[in-house]
Amino acid sequence: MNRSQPRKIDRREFLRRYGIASSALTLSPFFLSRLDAYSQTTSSLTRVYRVTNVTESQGFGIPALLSLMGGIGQFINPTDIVVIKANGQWPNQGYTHTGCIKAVIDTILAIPGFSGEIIICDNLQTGGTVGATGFDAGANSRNNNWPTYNWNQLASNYRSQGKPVATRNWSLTAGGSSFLAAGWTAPTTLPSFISWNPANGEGWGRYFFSCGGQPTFLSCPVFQSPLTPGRLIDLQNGGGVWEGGASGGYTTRRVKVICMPTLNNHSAQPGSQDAAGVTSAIKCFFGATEIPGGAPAHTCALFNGFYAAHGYCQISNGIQTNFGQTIGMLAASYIQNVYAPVLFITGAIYSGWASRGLSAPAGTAVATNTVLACTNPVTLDYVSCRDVISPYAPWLNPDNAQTPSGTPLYQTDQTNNTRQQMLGCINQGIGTINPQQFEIVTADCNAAPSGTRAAVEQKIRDFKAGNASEQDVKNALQNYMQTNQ
Amino acid sequence: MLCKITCRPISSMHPIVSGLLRHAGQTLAVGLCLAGPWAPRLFAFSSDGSLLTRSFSPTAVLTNSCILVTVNFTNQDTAALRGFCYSDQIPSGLSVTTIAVTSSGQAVTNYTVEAGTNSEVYADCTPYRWILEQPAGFFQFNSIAPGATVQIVYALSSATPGTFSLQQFSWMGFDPISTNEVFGYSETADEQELSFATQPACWLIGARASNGFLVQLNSSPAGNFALETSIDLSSWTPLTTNTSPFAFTDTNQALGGIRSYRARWLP
Repeated sequence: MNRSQPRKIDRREFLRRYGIASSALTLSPFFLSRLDAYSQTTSSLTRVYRVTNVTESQGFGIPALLSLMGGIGQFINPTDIVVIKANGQWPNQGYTHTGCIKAVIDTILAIPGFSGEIIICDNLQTGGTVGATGFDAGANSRNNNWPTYNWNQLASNYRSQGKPVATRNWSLTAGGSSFLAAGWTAPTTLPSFISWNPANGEGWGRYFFSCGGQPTFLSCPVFQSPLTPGRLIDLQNGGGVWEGGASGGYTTRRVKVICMPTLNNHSAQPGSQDAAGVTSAIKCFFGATEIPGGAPAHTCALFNGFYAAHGYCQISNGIQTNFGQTIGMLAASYIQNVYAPVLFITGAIYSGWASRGLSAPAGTAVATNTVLACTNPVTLDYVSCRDVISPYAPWLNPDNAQTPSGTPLYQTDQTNNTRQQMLGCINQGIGTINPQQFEIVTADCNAAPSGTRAAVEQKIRDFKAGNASEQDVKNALQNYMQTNQ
Repeated sequence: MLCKITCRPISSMHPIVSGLLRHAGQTLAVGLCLAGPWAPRLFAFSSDGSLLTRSFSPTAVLTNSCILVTVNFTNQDTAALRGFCYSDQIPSGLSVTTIAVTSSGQAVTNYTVEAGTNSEVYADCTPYRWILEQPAGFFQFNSIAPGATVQIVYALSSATPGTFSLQQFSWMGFDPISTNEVFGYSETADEQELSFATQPACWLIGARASNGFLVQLNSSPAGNFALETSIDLSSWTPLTTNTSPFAFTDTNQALGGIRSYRARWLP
């Protein structure tokens, strides 16, 4: 089997390549043009960035990860409203590691002149379990996670320091009532995007289309900033900021979304995979859109005549056939028709190899101490599953049990639904798992520094004395810049 | 070893021992004033398009007094510089105190000052390094934008008298746009000798002379002194500069009134 092996590319080469791509991404004002730029600039190689052996003292590797990518400034501007779309539904390792979120926030707040806002968001199906979600996890629900704070506490702590950080559970309105299906307007044709006018306050923009031959919808919120009264954060049309109420308008600020998924096995039983496959970047879009409870949930139940992302909308003779691939198709549709996050960061400090949220029995999660990032969720999930979690959960290895030739794309065995997620996206033009089309840029926080300041100064001394070349100095300097921790 | 310390501003560290000899008819007072010269020297060098200067103010002081070193760096590249580190090879016997680090006029607070080991790079020198960002993460977020400046100010002092030659300094950085490593270093013209001296004890003796007023200056040990006079203790007029002991006759006594004399040591 031909696999893309982790390759530590030359930093000079990496920055040369990535600097061009990231500039194009950042300068494009709307997500469609960003997508266009993205597809153009990644015509050579997609890159997944991975930092291993991370520790809390090193910001869980987040600063190093973003540095490998050219810095947070490649993705976020000083005036941006940043939405961190995390996974908040489940307790313990089931919600996005709070320490990783904190490290990303710290990095954004350090952008010179940052005047925007940072809001940690997610939808919770049926509201989640009180005291056991990322927003409000009690101390006994923070196993295999950052024990100090849950998300609400983290944001509150920032605000006590005068820093613009808040949380928002999209399941609820700013007033605390159900936000589900607010302002619902049925389409007259498919596909169509029915936008929400921020002049009317909070609401949802919805994209209606046919997925697998079934009427389906995806949505994104227009929501009140928890930090600035009268400011509405609009994720439609690539993300804008509305101020001034009914007679107001859009400001020059932009909204940027960073998806920060977990890395978990959705099944509660070791040795088996869920029909959805792994819970990570692709599936992160499940909580970006409205999540009707369904009656019953996890069936083909319609919601106002349309399947939600959480419904089994790809059916054949009334039977769900390939939920994994449906998830991938929906994620791709979301990126292409609703909004495109600027970055995906997987916080695999712990990986729930046997459960998305159970902390017992012991061993359902393992400390993998790894963070990864990519600008598409597919390649990111591929590397995360193949290299980080599958050593503990081989049924999540997307390379295992590939679809045999001549058989339907879906699989009902234990090893392929995760791959189907990825194929669902790839088939719509998002991401790649082709080893010839991506590479992995790595950093290891345990690596002993091989370059030192003294070594550089000694080379400069030798160069001045005629005992070394300028290139010798630069080599020592590059070694220092690349490997020193 | 890592250290990060603060120091008083130079204006409050400058040593002045004041006193005077006043002449009003038969009345004499004896005093002494010592003050170091205040004449910064500027040197410049450039490497890879960027510019760094190091200046000293002054270059000679009393022991336990401070010489202020000001380093100015300008990023003349077209891209932000990461991982900037400035290093000065400090001769053994000198103490280093960081006064301030600023970037484009804004105080930098999360830099690191690192003292290496003696003779690590040059014999009998300890490298002192001011590190604005630590690779590989650069998570201090002190990148230097194109055209931006960095100023590092530190004080040197010595508890014992002597002359020290500061010969070597260098800087390093990383340019992410051109994916280039950049560095710079001192040249021969950048070398600077600094003097730290013990204050000599000295005294003035005055007496009438046939053609004016005689001032005798003695000191132990001998040293260079500037003899000055004033009629208001505010403005001082130089009379002579000489090596002690020496005598000087002020022949301009026709003006009358009270005249004061002081000697200022020139280390």
